[in-house]
Amino acid sequence: MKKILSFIIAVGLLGLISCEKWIDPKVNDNPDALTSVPLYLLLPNIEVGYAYITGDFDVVGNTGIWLNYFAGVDRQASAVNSYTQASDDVNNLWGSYYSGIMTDCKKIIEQSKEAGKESPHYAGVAKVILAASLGNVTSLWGDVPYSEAFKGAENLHPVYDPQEQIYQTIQSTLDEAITDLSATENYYPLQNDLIYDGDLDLWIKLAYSLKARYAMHLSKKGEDAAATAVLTALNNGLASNNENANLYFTNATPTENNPMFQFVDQRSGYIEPDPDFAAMLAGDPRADVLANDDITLNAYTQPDAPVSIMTYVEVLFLKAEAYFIKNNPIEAANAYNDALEASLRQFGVYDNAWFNANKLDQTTITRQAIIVGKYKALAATLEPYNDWRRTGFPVLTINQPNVNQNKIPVRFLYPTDERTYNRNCPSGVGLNDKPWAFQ
Amino acid sequence: MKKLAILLVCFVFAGMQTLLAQNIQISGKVTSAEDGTALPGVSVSVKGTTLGTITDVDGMYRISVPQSATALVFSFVGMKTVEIPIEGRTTIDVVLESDVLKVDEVVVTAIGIKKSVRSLGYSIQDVGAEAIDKSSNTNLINSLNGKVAGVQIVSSAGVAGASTFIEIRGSSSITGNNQPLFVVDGVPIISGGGEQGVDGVNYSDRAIDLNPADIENISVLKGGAATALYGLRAANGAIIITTKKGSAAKKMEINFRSSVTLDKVSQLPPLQRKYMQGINGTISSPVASGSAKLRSWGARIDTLSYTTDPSFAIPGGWTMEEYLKYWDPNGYIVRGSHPLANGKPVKTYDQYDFFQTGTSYDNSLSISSGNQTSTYYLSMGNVTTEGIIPNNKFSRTSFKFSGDTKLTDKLTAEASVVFSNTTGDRQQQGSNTSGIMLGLLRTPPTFDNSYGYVFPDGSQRCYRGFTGFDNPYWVANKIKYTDKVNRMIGNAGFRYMATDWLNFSYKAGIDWYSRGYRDYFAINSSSLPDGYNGVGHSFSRNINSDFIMNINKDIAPGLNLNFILGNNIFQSYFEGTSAAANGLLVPDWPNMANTSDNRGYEGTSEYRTAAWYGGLDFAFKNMLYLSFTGRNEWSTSMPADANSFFYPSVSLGFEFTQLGALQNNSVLSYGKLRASWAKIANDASIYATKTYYVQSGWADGWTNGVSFPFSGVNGYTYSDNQGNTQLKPENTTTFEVGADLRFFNNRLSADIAYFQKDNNDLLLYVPVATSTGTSTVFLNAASMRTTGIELAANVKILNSRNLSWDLGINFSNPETVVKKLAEGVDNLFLGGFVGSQIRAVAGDPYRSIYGNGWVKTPDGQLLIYDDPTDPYYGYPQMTDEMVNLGAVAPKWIMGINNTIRVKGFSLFALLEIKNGGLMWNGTKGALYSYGTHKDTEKREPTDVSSFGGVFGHLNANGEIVHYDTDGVTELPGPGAANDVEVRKFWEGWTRAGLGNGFNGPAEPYVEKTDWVRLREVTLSYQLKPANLFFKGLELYFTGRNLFLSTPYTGIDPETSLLGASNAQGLDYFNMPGTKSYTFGVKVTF
Repeated sequence: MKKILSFIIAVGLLGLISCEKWIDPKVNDNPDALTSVPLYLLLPNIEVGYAYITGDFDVVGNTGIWLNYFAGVDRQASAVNSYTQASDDVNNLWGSYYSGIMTDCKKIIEQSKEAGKESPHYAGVAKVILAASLGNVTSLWGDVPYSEAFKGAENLHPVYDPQEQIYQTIQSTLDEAITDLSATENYYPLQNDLIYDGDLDLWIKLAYSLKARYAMHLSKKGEDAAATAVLTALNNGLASNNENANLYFTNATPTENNPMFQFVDQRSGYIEPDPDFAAMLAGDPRADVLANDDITLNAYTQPDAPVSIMTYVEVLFLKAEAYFIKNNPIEAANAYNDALEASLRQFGVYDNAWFNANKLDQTTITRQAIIVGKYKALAATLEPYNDWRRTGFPVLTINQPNVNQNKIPVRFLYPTDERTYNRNCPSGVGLNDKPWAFQ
Repeated sequence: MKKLAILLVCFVFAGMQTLLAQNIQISGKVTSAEDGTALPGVSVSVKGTTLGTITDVDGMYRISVPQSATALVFSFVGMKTVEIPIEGRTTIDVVLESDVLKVDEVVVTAIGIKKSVRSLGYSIQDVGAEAIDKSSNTNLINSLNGKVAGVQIVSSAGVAGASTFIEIRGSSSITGNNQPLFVVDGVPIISGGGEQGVDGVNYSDRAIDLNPADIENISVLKGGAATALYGLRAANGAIIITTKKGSAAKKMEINFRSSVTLDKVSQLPPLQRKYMQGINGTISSPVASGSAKLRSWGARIDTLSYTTDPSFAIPGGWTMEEYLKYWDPNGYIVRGSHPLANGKPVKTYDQYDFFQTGTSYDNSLSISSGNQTSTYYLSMGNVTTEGIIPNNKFSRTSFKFSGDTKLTDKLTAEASVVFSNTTGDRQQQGSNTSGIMLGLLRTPPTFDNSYGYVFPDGSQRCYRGFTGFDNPYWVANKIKYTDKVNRMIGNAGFRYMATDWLNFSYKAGIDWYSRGYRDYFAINSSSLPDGYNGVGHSFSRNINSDFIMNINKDIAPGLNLNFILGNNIFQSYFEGTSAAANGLLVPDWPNMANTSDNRGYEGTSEYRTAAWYGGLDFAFKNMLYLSFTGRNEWSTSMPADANSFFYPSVSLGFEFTQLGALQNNSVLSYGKLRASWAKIANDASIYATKTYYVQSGWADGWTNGVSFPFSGVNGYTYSDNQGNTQLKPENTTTFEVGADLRFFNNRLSADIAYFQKDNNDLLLYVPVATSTGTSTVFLNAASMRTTGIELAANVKILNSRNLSWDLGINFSNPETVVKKLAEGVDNLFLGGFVGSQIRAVAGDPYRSIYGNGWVKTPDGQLLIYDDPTDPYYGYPQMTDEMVNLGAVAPKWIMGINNTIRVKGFSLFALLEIKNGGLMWNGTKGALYSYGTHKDTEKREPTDVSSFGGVFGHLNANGEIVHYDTDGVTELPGPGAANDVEVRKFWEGWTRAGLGNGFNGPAEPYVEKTDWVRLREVTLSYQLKPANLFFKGLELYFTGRNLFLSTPYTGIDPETSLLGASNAQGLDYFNMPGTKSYTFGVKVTF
């Protein structure tokens, strides 16, 4: 009996004494997730994420239908074809850049400053991808949050910075990236780099090339200055097709397939190649891989097709345009011809006779020829949409009359989540309101 | 805390002293006043203590009482409790009168404390073994339907093993759990589960593991004051289950129950059989190319015939011989006028022949016995069900042992263990190209699914050819979701009666189960054409410990004090591993090795609480009952600086018929007013205090996306759900007033309650602008209020020895309104689809259906398109934005039960009336597009009528305008009334325009779910043979849902696409409900 009583007392006392040990805050640490992750496991995420989001239907499909690369023929794609867009349609895209890639870039940059283990090379790569993401975001939406963004619960209503300021931020971020990537003191060497396999020189070249791209975005705000900036930056730009900033998707498993491949495979029948684009490529050796009747046979819809942050071909076209602005048609034509050759080689369809017949010289080179050449070479990527809004080339025919005031949309709508939850989100912005940079 | 410990020790020593005191023996016999027979099983206790015994089969008792004892208390179910002063006697015989008022009946309250009905200051309702048994439900929750006021129960589907959703007094949480705590014999068990996505299968909730035959009583604790002692886990109410025990009064008793249930599919959407596969009146076939074969907008079947001529060119290169063999033995369908037509009319098929009669065999056997020192109960049960869909199975086998024994006069030990094994074979449902209903209901009437589902080469035969929507027979045979659960619920405890006024009890309980599953899609299944195999095992465990001290003393004449002090320790733990194989290599081999891509996952979670709780009850002259409770809880899921919280309750019962003037009133026999107030806290969900990095994946809503590992490397992303350390507990304040009134010696009784429940600081992941770097932040943000009235009334219409008729009514109208969600957030997605979903909307009832609507004028009239040159002239127009289309919850629910007894016969009928409530009938919207719905028969040019409303349209600024007579100029506001007659089921509108659920708004498919249903009817006959070898025999028939009247045009509207989740109110190719017929026999030896 006494034993039993002692037991009961013991249990009671145990209950009292052990309370603090029992309610151990560590119990609430999720064992299946980490509160900090080594840099080499964060890096591949921003690379793959950037490539997937930038190469998917939201970017490539929407702008591609508007730019007559594709015809949207079924379901939601047919709505895009008739120049409509709902705020919901771009919610995922915006969120993937903001709470996804750019936040993860910021985390890498922060973590790379760890005292005693400073790893600027990681910061440099993260800044390049951050700048490219911000470039995509601002070119699609104009004024966007940045200076007050990424603060979580501390600021639930980040202000929208003027687009001019965003472009300055892109340039300064790329400058910082170049400094970081050039650093000689670096604790953790770049690992798991799926784009350049840790080659810092290539990352630096990419950063310069992006500086050129975003300088050219502002051509409407001062052509000469833009061209000067482009040419300065491109002294150090990507120098061959082998230096393209490609993230390769793979055939290994469905969860590693290229985003546009996934779209045409899983959303079969939504889009078809636009005959207008096929007509433009008539006779061009690239017609079979960029404007094939069967959309699944094109280069950009292959399961293992890469998505590029930027390519050598784009660099050459930027150079051509900058020389053209600078009244140097000889160099402009040279750069154009180099771009054309690099593009043919990039798709593995180089044909000497056709190339020679289609080369331009100082008398035949025009701004329009350069931009149209770029439009063809960069098919199914975002940049031609920016070029078109900047220069009006190529001259497009509208898909369908009597919709959207007979205009091709010149921006994306602000997404639902921002409109609903951020009181600083601008209102009354429609699809025909061009962002400041392209006005 | 130290002070408490010292106090506790003092009490224990005080108890030991009394051990030394001398006891006296008292014995006697208890008989019934009605007929003088001996009463076995009467509880005999020493007043003010828990010392006690019960009478044996001859009504005899013997009890040892301390010398200090003053009186014995005799109580028995259905009898008035009497208190007899001992006055030095050693023999006390007692005659008990029947208790017509039933106010001394004991109910189980929180922490297993038994209290008499009269002493309660809040509402409790219970359901007995008889009612649970006869309703013959596999899942005991369904047996409560219509029997308890304030409880809403929704069975998600009629398929075997489907889950059931239960909610008491409305909702308390926006995105968290809203279902009550389940407590079995004092130990909280793992419950809930049974949520599912918009696709997949119907999963079981874990209440299904319990064998209803083992249950003696279910007590439903509704309000805050009733559950306050349980703490945060009972914030949504509690279901207190008491299982059967052996009785000291009875010699060995063996009960055997056997029943067979036949299930028939209940209400189904009507389908047309007039128009064939194709579009625009053409002829298509499974082997045709193009998309026309998807739909049933083809030629009129009565104008068609077959051809079997080998020279006929069948699309896809099939020969006539092959076509006859594999696709249709009658031939290829052609126009009746076709030169090769054989003149035979084209057959149509009743797709619903797919359903079979479900069968369920339920057998259980129990043995119980006891004597003055020990009792035991032993049972085993098995239920084996095959549902209305082929190969949909569920089975449960359970064993239970419970017993107690008196180790000494003062110390009793008790233990119970339940083991159960459940297995399920589940079928695909919902928005899923492999869903049974989806493939079945979209099938054109001219296609016979049953003619074969697989070709010799392993490819699939379905109406779209080889893939698209699975043939339901393919799903039933080639896609397997199987799971098995092994579960053990056990507890062991001691009760120690230290003195006549002090006792201690301790009970430790454990509930664990392991679950293993296999999800398998054969190669060529539409939803996963490359095949899929997934397996997983998990282990869940709850441990609960309660130590309780109880003091009960008359502290002054007429004033009784009851005090309890308890300690609770609780832990919940889960771990699981799973693996998934995408893309199978060898057909029909469900194995993880059968792939080149398999991936593994694991999950672990743990949660702990500790609590001290106390209750103080005063009872003054059987008239005033005042109770206080308090509980302080510590929880690991809260931030360390906010992990302790206290919540109190107070309740008062005033039995005003004890007042002199009102005593012994012949009309109002008993009357009590009661009021209670309670504050309850609730903690955060686990792991919400930090933000984590998680393995990364990227998807865009169009595609399956990419995920890591990628190219041989792993990748992590900062979670989009931001944790928060600045949290306080959620708090709920409840208030309840009520009255318990019994008239004419309980011929008429009514228990009425009004309650109000305010949930504040509700924690949820609040959606934020993603430019903040995250998409949700965990915050104390939302608040809700639930109010309602509950009425439980009983009338004894007839009450003679051989004939009685009892009428009972349970009515309730709880309404939960979302008062606030979070700053800047006026509505929140709970579940569903892009264009039709369930949301919480600030200012509206919880669970609103959201979707696009028809454009309407401010006074609610349809705005009808007014351009006469447009094909949609005369048709309505769709809103740009989604709008609130109404509340899912009913306005009120009423259960009306009748029990009529004539000699050995007994008839029980439970009619349930539900008023209000909506559901999205997405199935109908889809079938309009496919042209298989019966309504679409009215597609001929002569089938015209007007949509009504007024003419007009929206201009570029979204304002209502209408065309002037010139047809160009837009004038403000709506125009004339619409009198244009149009074809409401014109293919150009119903298939190609806004007249279906895919292209058009959700609004026309939001339908009323009011119903009148015969929930249960039971006819039983009881035989009490005098000389046979058994003591009793009962034969019974139970029918469930035999009658249903509802305006809902789909399946039985008691359904839920997302199972037992908060997003009730969606029907998109849900599995249908059933009508059941049970034949049973119960034998007692």
